[in-house]
Amino acid sequence: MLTLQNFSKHYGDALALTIPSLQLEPGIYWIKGENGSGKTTLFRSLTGLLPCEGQVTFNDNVSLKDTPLAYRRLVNYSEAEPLYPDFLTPKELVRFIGQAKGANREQQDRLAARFGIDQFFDKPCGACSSGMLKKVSLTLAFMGAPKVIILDEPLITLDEAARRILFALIQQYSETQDVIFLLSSHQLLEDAQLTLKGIFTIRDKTIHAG
Amino acid sequence: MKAVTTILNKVLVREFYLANATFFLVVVGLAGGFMRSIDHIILAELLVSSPVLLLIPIGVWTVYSFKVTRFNRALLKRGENEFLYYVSTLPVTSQVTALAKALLLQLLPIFLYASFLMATAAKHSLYFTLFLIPVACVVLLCLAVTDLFVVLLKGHREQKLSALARWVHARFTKPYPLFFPEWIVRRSPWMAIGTKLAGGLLLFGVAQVYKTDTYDARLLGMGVVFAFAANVNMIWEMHRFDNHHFDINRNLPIPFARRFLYFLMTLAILTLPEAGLLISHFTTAVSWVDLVGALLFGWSITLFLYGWLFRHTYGPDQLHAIVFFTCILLVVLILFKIPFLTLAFINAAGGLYLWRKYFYTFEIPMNEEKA
Repeated sequence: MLTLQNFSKHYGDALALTIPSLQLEPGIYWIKGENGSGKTTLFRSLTGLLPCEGQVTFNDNVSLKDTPLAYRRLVNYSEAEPLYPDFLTPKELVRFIGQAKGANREQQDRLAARFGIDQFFDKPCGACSSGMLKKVSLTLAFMGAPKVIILDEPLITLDEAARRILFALIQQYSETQDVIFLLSSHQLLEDAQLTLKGIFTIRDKTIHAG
Repeated sequence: MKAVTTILNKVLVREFYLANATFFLVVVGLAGGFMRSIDHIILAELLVSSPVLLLIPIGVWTVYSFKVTRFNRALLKRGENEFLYYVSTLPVTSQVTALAKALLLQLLPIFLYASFLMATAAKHSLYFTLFLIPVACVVLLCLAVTDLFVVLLKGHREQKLSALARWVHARFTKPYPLFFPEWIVRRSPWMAIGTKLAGGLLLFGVAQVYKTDTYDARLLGMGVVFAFAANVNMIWEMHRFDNHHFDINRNLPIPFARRFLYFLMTLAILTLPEAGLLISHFTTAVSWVDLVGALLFGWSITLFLYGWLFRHTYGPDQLHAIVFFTCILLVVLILFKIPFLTLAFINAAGGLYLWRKYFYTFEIPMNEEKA
């Protein structure tokens, strides 16, 4: 279970987001909100990319602040519009990030093949389309043995076949590995045939159920 | 038309001067601090005295024009500036006029100095020189406008890989310590070359002094301070690469010891020229203990700066002030015969402390864009 207690994020002196208390059990959650409402800020904070105030813990014993390495082993993230250094290839990213996340070579190659990024494994990111980079980012989000996978706008720039693969993987990881998925999307996720555990909306700098 | 001019001024001209503020400050500092007005006049009279000597300023202006065109090309490659390619849909005359206006402002330093040289030439009735200077300026302006015009016309081209590059990518997976060196060589090659040249020349100069005079290791220590501190911009870029441009790195469960190991490996690659010079030119001048101590001391300076950047979200310019005072302090400590290894330990301990303490709470300022 992922627990947020007295969570808040400021940019300078300005409050961006505050969540007094939130508990998420394994399952798929759809995080909604208008542009600029704070979805990405929440995601980047939960991933450890942005510092935040308050307590973020997984199963009461793994904490974003107190056990940062163990926490990062469990929480993976895919950005809305991923950007990687132009000269790096998807293979180099998969090998480096896969190894850091504890994914063996077999898992790295299996996920790369699943999303079809093995087709352009040796092509530098600068020569890849935004859809290709999105697939790379999604592949990286499943590396290792994550317990929380955060996907920011996972559907943008993704083709129909890749969407089906993504939905199948989300459903599979959620059902068989008890993974918590946080998805933000402006597209309708009801049509994705995902079994949603809950829907949250971020507005007025906090999170609301439904 | 006015809108296009405004946009070009904001995106190209303003950004160019902001990005090169330090460069212009250095130029103004050198010109105003080291040369009196009479020196400027004497230099100008010398430069306009013959067409051959006039090639010197024209050569410098050409290099500056290259700097401008390279900057514009790099800026157009950024995703947020793709909208500028719409300029190519305007009538050709409107395009050329708008581009010329922007480039006139970017090349303004050339025109200002050219005016000064023309005034000097006119004073001495050097009419051929008076003719050559504006011709050179117009040619440089036309070339810069043509370059920008063609870049906008052709837009983005698919990056094609050479057979060699494909072969290398298929057989070799780059390890993390090589990520940043390739990034900096591609992103700011002149900065990387300039830094290495400056540090290398400094150490080489110190080595020459040892050949003719007898000094203890303190002279080498002072050389090392400035040669390694000259890497300040590179360290700043390295810090931003690790924590901003490749920020997924911060989500990875990499133990601190391994992050430090990656840092050391990258640093060793970046400072190969300095290390090579130390080993090849100082073995007879100082003892091996001092030599190893000097190298560790040099690396520790960069480690300290890297750690400092987790505590303070400084830009490169602000960091220069810190580097300046750090260098002065280190030179004083060297003069008081504090051993290199002691200084290296203090620097490394300070850098590691700041890095470890502030790594997870560090946040990039919101106005810094990801590249």
